[in-house]
Amino acid sequence: MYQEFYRNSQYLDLPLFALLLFMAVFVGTVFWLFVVQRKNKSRFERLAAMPLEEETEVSHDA
Amino acid sequence: MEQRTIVYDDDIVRKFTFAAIFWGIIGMAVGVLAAVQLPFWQANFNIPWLTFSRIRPLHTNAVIFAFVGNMMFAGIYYSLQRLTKQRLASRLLSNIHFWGWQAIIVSAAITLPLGLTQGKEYAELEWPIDLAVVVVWVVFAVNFFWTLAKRNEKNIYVAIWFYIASIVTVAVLYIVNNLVIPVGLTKSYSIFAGVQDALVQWWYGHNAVAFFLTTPILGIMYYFLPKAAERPVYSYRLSVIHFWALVFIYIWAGPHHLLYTSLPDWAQSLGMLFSVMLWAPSWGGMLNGLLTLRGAWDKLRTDPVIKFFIAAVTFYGMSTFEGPLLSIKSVSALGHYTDWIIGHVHGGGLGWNGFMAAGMFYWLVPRLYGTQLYSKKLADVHFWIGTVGILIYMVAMWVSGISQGLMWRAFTPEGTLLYPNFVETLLAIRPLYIARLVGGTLYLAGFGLLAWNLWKTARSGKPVNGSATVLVEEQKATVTTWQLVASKPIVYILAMAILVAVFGISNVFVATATVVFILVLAVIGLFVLKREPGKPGWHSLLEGNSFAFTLFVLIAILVGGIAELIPTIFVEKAVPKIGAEQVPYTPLELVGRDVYVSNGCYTCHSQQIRPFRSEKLRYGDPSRAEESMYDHPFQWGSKRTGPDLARVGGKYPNLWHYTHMIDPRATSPGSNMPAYPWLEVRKVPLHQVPKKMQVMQKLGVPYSDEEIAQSQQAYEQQAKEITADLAQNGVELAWDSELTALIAYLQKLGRQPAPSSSDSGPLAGAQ
Ligand code: HEC
Repeated sequence: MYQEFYRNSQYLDLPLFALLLFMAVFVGTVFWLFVVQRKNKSRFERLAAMPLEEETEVSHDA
Repeated sequence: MEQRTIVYDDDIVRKFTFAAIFWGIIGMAVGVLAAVQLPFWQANFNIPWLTFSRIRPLHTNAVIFAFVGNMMFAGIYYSLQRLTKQRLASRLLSNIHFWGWQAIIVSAAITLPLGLTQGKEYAELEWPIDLAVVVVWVVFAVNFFWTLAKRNEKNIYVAIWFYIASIVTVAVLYIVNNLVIPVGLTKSYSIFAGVQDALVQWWYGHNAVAFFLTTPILGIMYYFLPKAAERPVYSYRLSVIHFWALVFIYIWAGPHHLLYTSLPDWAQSLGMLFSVMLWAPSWGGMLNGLLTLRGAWDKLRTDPVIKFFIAAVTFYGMSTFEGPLLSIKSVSALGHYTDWIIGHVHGGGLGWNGFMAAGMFYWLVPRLYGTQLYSKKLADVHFWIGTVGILIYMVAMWVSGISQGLMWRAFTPEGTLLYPNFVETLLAIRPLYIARLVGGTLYLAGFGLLAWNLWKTARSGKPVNGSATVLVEEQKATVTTWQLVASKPIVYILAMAILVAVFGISNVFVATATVVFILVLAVIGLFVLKREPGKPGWHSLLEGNSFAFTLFVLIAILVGGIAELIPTIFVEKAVPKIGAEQVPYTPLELVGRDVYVSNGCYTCHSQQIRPFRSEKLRYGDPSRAEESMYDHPFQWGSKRTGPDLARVGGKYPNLWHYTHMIDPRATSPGSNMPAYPWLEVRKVPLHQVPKKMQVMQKLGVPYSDEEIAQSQQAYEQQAKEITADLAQNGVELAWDSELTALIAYLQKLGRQPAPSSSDSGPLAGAQ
């Protein structure tokens, strides 16, 4: 069904291209994070702590 | 440096929270009503707008857009303000967003039961409501990005990345899939047809699950889970991987589709690999959530919020395992069209979305009202009946789906179908429908407890707003966007992209050379892209620059989407060649099709016969692409609560259809199909017929101007042939009733001329 459908498309290289491109970028990201950035621990710790900051409450009417 | 106190706008969070709880109860209650009707068909009380096929779209739209939608807006607005240390940019926009969204929900709740629908799953809302959705979404986006731009915190926490990806992607998906040409205010036709429409629809459907039900909730998880556990997320790097994996792999739904195309084998294998790769980051994300609790496992016993979050994350892991499993060809062959899929969806919906919502609300509401949770015990009870409810639900649907799937394809030793009567397979799963009803009701009851508990909580406190003190620096732009765009990594990625493109379109020799070149470039990249000491790294610049970041995500999803859709959309030119013999619907059949769409028959019936021996025996030859080339929108369906209808035309006389539609039990004892007696009474809007055909003509259906001019006469003539045939059997039916048109449509299904050449033969080599 799909095979029969797609047989008439001239643009089948496009998904192939995107597949490879995405794979390359993704692998690049993983590489960047775990190899290039491997010594940058403190930065990630700082980022990870962001949600934990304290806050105070004020009355709604204030 | 200047010290400033920021008071957050938590009013809007309170509004969205209670709206989510309210619509959650409504949406789930409608779901329970639909679940009653499958084992007890009488439960629609013969009221058109309570009929299964009308309320099923209401249920799905309500739980997705009203319940999860409002919940995610609450969570996003709460966490966005805290993470940016900035009050929401505009109170007016927040209010337009809130009231606009509720108005959309109300209009959906009115129009869907009335049968005003575009007939595509989760995209049923008619075009005027779609326009409103787009406007409100833009208001939301402006409010969001404006706040982000004014932020008092340099870095953008990963939760916000998830929100950005959701906002951008949902907009693109929604617009493309809802492209229609209106016939009137309440009726339109999809600009896509048949296979194309199916591909666009499921590109939307697949990614809506990703970017409406998954990524925003993951953002919420990455904010609220650390909050509740009072410790930072287990691994921030893992969350970054999780994010890019979803953007780069999930949007790339191609792998499922690739399996069916004539792409080379290596590409199909790569596509499969990619699918499997999706497992890893999803599970990475799940573990990241679970391990955030490290050293605080005791909370799992004492804190209801943590209980809900941890169970939700576990269900996320289960669903992301089951999803890829179901996309494996042989598993799909068994599970598709059955209740297995319903079970899968509810594992995600009730377990992941519903429990994340519950955890977030139990954490949030006491804080929004400066008080304690009214009853922890009640929350615990909610957790347990909710969990038991989900488990009963899922197990019932697994058993039901697999048994019915197996029964559909069971053969006798002589090679005929073991259960040729569809109703037999339906009666076999009836007890499981009752079990599912029990599971769903338990879950709803638990949610009722939540509403009560949180209502009491809110009543015991007073609305309070969060506030924080920030040090505001003079903003100085360190990098311009242009510097970022022209930076080394971008140039590098572009060069890679060009090489990959060359690889894609070249012959074997050039391709091999290109691969070598890519590898060399990759090695060079290792050295070139090393960070220069003293300067900020490239990714950290991107992280700090929300505009560039958003642009990057947008480009990524556009590349993914375009790459997948272009081959689909531009296949058109070739179709008429094989489709030339296809006869478009007559005016009567076209109107009958609208009746079919409007009554939501696609919620129970598929129109797509797969190339399996069992299906050929039960339904006839496998469906061919060109057979639905004039179907705006396609009606292939996704669930077979009833049999496939692709070739039902000519199978029965008109009288059978008449009797069956008025009372399905009269022809098919044991059937759970609703009766549709009102179709006999209702008249079709005849004056709209020429207009409908004109729109179809615009969309490429080969109607001549003359046919359109004569359409009302042609309509009457064909309709009267049917009513005359019925009259001979003693049945009076008005020629301009909806039922006459519907019968004509059903009789046309699958009665296209057979293919003349082997050129368009059905898919070979399948089971
Ligand atoms: C709740 C699910 C449900 C809905 C909604 C539903 N059906 Fe059915 N339908 C069934 C079941 C189950 C059967 C098989 C038993 C029978 O013949 O009634 C069936 C059978 C049929 C058949 C006979 C198929 C065959 O090959 O024997 C036709 C035709 C049909 N339905 C048309 C419709 C139309 C038209 C609508 C919408 C107006 C509709 N159905 C809505 C469940 C449903």
